[in-house]
Amino acid sequence: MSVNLQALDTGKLFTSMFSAAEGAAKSGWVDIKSSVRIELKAVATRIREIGKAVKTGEADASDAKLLMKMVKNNVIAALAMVTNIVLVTAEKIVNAALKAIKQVVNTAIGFPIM
Amino acid sequence: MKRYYQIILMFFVITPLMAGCLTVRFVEPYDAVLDEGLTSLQGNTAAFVARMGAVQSKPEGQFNSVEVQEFYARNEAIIAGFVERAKILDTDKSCLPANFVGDGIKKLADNTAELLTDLNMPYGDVEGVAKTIQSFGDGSDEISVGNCTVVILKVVQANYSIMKTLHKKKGKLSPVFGQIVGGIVGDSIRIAIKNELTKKNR
Repeated sequence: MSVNLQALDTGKLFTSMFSAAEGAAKSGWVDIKSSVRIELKAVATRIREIGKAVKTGEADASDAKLLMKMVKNNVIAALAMVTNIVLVTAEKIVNAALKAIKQVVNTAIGFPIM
Repeated sequence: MKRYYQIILMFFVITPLMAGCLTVRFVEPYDAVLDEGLTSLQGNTAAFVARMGAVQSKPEGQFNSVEVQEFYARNEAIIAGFVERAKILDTDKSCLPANFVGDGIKKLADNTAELLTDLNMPYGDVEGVAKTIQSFGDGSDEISVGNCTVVILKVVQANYSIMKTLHKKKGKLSPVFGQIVGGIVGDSIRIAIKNELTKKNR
């Protein structure tokens, strides 16, 4: 059995993993930034609408309090959503690195282990 | 000989790694039932709010009408089902640690100052609004308990309940008021759908 041990050098393995992980991280970060921006804008827009409604008499003080409670709840939901996006991105990073190892190892060993 | 042992060692280290750990998962799987259910809820809610605005002066637009009562009863039950379903899918994890909501929201407030300035707030004072948002983080909140999907769905549930409370208080939903409260509930549901799509597209 011919095994290319040079290909299993830890430095080369790390480079391969890092490159795959970096790609996954970049695309995940784009999604995180975009999602945070959308939700921040929504919160600000709703607060403005509530302010206008109070000003025009469409909403009284207790209405405004309840509406602001709803906006607060949405901030919590947005934080939870972004947490999940970050966790899924972390999954992608780890899985991309593992996939890179698989390719290098299968090539070095000379037959597919997986 | 040394090379032989290196190969054997590598085989016994890497094979289990490959066999057992080729994919890791930190978030529960995508749920098509939840995704479709939320999308349907989003449409139904928007249609309901629009209709209430159109019939605000008529009997069917009043909170006590059969149509309105049935709408809330039906959708509250659906949302409660979503929450229970999400709890079952992942019982182990918690999403937001006790101080995370407060710290997260305070950071959010600090970073939105510029955005609020651009939006010409009616309060006329960006700092005042930022402080209002910061106050959102004070105190613990039962809504924050559970895995992230549960937290998000509990927000949908809580905001639906507040919408019902406001509808009862005012007796009807005017087009303007309905747009605000329906818009906030729509935001809640949109966040929940986006959460499912994140899992779907992983």
